[in-house]
Amino acid sequence: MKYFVLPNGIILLLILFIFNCQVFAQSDYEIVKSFKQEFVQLEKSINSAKTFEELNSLVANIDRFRADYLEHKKLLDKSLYPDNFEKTFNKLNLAFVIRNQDFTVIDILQTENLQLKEQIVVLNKRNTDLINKIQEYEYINKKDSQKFVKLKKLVNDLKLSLRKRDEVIISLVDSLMPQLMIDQEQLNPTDGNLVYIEAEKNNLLANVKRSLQDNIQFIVVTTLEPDDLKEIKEQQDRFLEFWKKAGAKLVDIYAEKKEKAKEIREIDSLFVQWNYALEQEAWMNIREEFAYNDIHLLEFTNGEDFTNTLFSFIKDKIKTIGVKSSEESDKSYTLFADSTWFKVISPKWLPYLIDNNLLLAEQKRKIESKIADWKGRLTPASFDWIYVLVAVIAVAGLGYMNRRRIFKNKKT
Amino acid sequence: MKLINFLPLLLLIIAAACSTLKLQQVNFAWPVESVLSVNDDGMVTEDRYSISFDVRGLFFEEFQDSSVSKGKKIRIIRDVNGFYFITAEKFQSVYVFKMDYGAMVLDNKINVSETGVTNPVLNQRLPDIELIDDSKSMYLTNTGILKDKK
Repeated sequence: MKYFVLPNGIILLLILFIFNCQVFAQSDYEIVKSFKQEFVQLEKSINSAKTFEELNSLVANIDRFRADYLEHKKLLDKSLYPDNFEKTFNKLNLAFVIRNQDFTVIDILQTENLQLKEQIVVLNKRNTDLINKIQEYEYINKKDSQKFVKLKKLVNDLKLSLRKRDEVIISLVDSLMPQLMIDQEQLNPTDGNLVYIEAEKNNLLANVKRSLQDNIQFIVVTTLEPDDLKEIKEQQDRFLEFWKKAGAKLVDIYAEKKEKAKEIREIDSLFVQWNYALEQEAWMNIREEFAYNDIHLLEFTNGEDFTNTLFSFIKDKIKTIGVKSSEESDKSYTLFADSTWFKVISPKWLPYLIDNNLLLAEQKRKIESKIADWKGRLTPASFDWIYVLVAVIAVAGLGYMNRRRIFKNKKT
Repeated sequence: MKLINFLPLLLLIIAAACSTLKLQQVNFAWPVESVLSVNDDGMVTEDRYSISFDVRGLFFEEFQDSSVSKGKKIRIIRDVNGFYFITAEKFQSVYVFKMDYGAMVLDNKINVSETGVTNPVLNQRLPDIELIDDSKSMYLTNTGILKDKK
């Protein structure tokens, strides 16, 4: 019996033929379905690629995907409505380009970020030096004009430097979280984690805290004019607005890290302290303006306190009218009203207080009517003496004239 | 006499007025079959072609029990002439339907398996429809199985 043995090549061809038949006999529906599934998978891989390398490695997958389905192009063109075979690959290519751009932006931002980090370090050091110098100069006599000018310059330098550092911090956060990310209602966990890692690398929370502490310290160690306070208020509003937007996102990102959540709370409380320090600086300086003219008022920390303190001061002064000499009473009034209230407080501080809702227009009106009352009580007192004098002179004059007439009558 | 001369012309005018407008060379073919799930009410919906219908009658015809349709999947494809080919797992036939006023009317019931198909697949192979069941393949038209094409 002869056995017919098939050569290996023919066996392979037969296997391939059977396999081909199997492939041929497949469902169009399944082809379309698996094409769609592979597309979704690839698109997902592109969007979630974490590095340039990972993204680039997907190019080969896209090419293989295309080659695998090219023979079904006709079927897919009809079945992928409203897309078609080419449109689907254009979508993949677009996703690839966009992700590629993300990496380019991330790369640029990382470089920017490094520069910003260096700038913050320099500014932190510079600000500390300036605060120390100002503290030394604050105790000098303000009449030493040369040193006073130097102090003014230092204060101005520090003010600018603090503002610059705030802006650098805002830019740093911008580089970590592009506007797009801030606008998103909820950050996806991957983005959130990336921001967390970068924020930690840059000591972001520590820097925001440091900035706020320095801003508070600046207010504490310097004597500021209303214009300075106004500028700081604007800077504070900008920084607060930034923190409300970016900070809210950071709160979400840090929510799970307990020790960091504490830092976020500290930052929130530093904003409150900064605002309080700014308000108190105004009241303290107003008190100093009065003290400069030897008017020592009780401490006040808000508009109501301020109005009550001035009211009770004026009330006391009114009580002493007639007890103290008129010169003394006049001097008290002149120092309070003419040299302090109308010369300094009213033109310099009242607009700032009213603009920032620290004092109400009604409270201002009340104080000024009390001052007018004080003046009114001083003026009639001096008039009384004149009336008495005039009356005495008039009586004396009349008496004298009467005596002369009687005397004349007697003679005749 | 004169009237007889004009009669053919008159008939032609009447015939033209009565004939229905017909647009030719229509291709109704769906490129790929749709696999549709039957909902609790026995309805299937195909979003791409905006078509929905009740399949309980079809299951009753196949299994004499319309309740088995619940949760099942049917496979449907339309051929170039506008006939709908419908089958499903365990069906012994492919059902051919044509459109009617607000309904699908059975045009043909093609017996394809004595024991019922296990993994049926319908492919568009213009001008026919291919039915694959596992590795077995056959070509169908609305009139039945094409014997010479396997």
